[in-house]
Amino acid sequence: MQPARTMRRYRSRTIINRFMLVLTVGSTGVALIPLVLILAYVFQQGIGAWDVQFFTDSFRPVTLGEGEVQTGGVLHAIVGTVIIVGVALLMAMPIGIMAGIYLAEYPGNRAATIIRFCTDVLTAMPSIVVGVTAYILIVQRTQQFSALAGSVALVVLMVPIITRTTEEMLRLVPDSSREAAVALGAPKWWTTLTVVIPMAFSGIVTGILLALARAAGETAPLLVTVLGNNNLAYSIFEPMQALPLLAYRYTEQPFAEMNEQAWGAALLLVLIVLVTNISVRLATRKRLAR
Amino acid sequence: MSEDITGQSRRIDVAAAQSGIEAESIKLRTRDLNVFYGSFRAIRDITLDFPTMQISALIGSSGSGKSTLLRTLNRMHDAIPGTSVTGQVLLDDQPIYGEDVDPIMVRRRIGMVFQRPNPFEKSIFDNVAYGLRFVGKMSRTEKRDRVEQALKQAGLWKEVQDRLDSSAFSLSGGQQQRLCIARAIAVEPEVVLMDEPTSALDPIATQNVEELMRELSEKFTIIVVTHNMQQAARVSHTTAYMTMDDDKSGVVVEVGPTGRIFTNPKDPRTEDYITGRIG
Repeated sequence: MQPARTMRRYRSRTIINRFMLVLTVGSTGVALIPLVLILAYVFQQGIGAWDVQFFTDSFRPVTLGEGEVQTGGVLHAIVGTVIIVGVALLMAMPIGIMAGIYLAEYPGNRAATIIRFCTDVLTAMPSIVVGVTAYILIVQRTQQFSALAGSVALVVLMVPIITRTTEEMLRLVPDSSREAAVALGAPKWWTTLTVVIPMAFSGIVTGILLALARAAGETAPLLVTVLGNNNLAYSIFEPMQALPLLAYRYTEQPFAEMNEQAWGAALLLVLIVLVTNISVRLATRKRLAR
Repeated sequence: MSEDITGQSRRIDVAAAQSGIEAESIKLRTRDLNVFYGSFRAIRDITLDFPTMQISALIGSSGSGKSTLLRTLNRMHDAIPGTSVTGQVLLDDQPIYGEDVDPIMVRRRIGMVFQRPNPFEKSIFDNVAYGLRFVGKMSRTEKRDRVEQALKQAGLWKEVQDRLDSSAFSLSGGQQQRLCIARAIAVEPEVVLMDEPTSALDPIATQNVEELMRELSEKFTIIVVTHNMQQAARVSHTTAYMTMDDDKSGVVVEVGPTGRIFTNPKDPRTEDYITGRIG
C-alpha cells in the first residue's frame, strides 16, 4: 500500500512543479514582450528619418506646395540634451555622492534617518511636479524659460538615485577595511576618501549612469522649464531644445515629415539610454570579477 | 586622578607578584575596565598588566570578551554607537581614555592586526606605506626604506620585492596576513594587538606568523587573542584566561606566566579549559 501512495504523491508533486515552471517562464515572456515590441517598432518607424542632415542640421520649416520637401535635422536637440543633462550631472554628482557618503558612513543618527526618508520620497515624486516647482522657483522669478531651470529640475530627479546607490555601494565595503585604516591612525574622512570610496568606485559610477539614463529620457519637467527652441542654442540662460521634448512636440505637428523625425529622435534617445545601460552592466561585471 | 592610579597600581603589584609575572616594566595596564554595548556589560572589571617587549596571550572560549578587551586597548570601539567604557587603560602610565586624549594618537602608538587578512585594494607597496603619512613628512627614499624594512621584518620581502606594484590581492592568504603585519609595524607602533591573527590561515602559514611574532616581540609589545591554546603555549610569555560569568560578561579567571598557566593552573576553571574539558 505504502509504495503506491508514495508514487501518487510523487506524481502530483511533479505535475505541480511543471505547472509552476510553465507559469514562471510564461510570465517572464510576457514581461519581455513590451520591450521587444517597443524596440522593434521604434526602430522600424525611426530609422527612416536617419540621414546625414538629421544629425547635422537644426529645424527647418516644412515647405508647402511644389518642390523638394526640406526636413532639417535634430542637431539642436542633441546639443540641447547634452548641455541640459551635462549641467544637471555636474550639479547632481557632488550632491548625491556626498549625501550618500553621509548616509553610509555616519548612520544611526536622527538626521541620517530623516534624509534617507526624504530621499525615498523624492525618488517617487512625479517628474511633472518637480518641473512645475522649478518653473515657479526659477522661470517665474527670472521671467525667462531657460536650460538652467530644466537642469535644476533634473538634478532633483537625479540626486536621490545617486545618493541611494552610493549609500548601498559604500555599505558593501567590509568594515574590516575601514578598521584596518582606522587602526593605523587614519582620521575617518581620510579613511573614507582613500579606502572606502576606491573600493566602491565602480558601484558609484553605476548609480551615476542610472541617474543619467533617467534624466536623459525625462520630458515632463523640460516642458515647463526649457520650453523648446527651433534653433541651435548654447546659452543655459535661454530656452533650448531636447530630444524627448522634440519627440513630444513633433508628434503634435500635422506634417508627416516631422512625425517621422519624432520617431527618429525617439530612436536616438532609446539608443542613448540603451548604451548607457549596457555600459552600466559592463561596469558592474568588472566590479564582480575583481 | 593620579591618586586613583597610584592606589590601583599598588593593588596590581600585589596581584602580579602573586601570579608570578616577572617583567622589567609594564607597557600597558587596564584598571577595572568595563565595556558596555548599550546596557549589556561585555567585560567586567578587567585589571591586567601587559609587560613591555613580551607576548601576552588572551585565551578563553567564544563570548568571553577577549576581542572586546583587545579592541578597547586602542579605542577601536569609539566609532561604534552605543558602546561605553568605564575604568582606565594606561599606556606608559598615561590614561588613553582621558578627555584630552585623541584616539587617533592612541592608535598611532598601538597598532592592530585583524582576524582575517584585510589588505586595501591597493598595491603591495601602497598597503605598507599607507600609515606612513601619519607618522610625519618623509622623503620618497625614506618611505621606500621604511616599506622595505617593514616587509623584511614581516618576512615577506624576498617574496614580493620584485612585484611591489602588483595588487595586494595577488598574494596568498598567509602572505596577505604578513602584509597586514608589515603595514601595522611600518609606522613603528609601541604595541601591536593581534586578534586571532592565524585563525584564517593554514598550518604552514600559521607557523610562519608565529615565528614572526616571536621575532617581533624583541621590538614591540604584543598582545594576542587566540582560540588556539597550543598557539598561546608556543608563543606567549604571559597568558590570561577569560571566561563568561553568570551575567554573560567577560571576566579574567587567571593570569600568569604561560608555562605555569599550562602546567600548574591555580583555578579549577582554567584547568578544565586547558585540558579540553570545556570550550
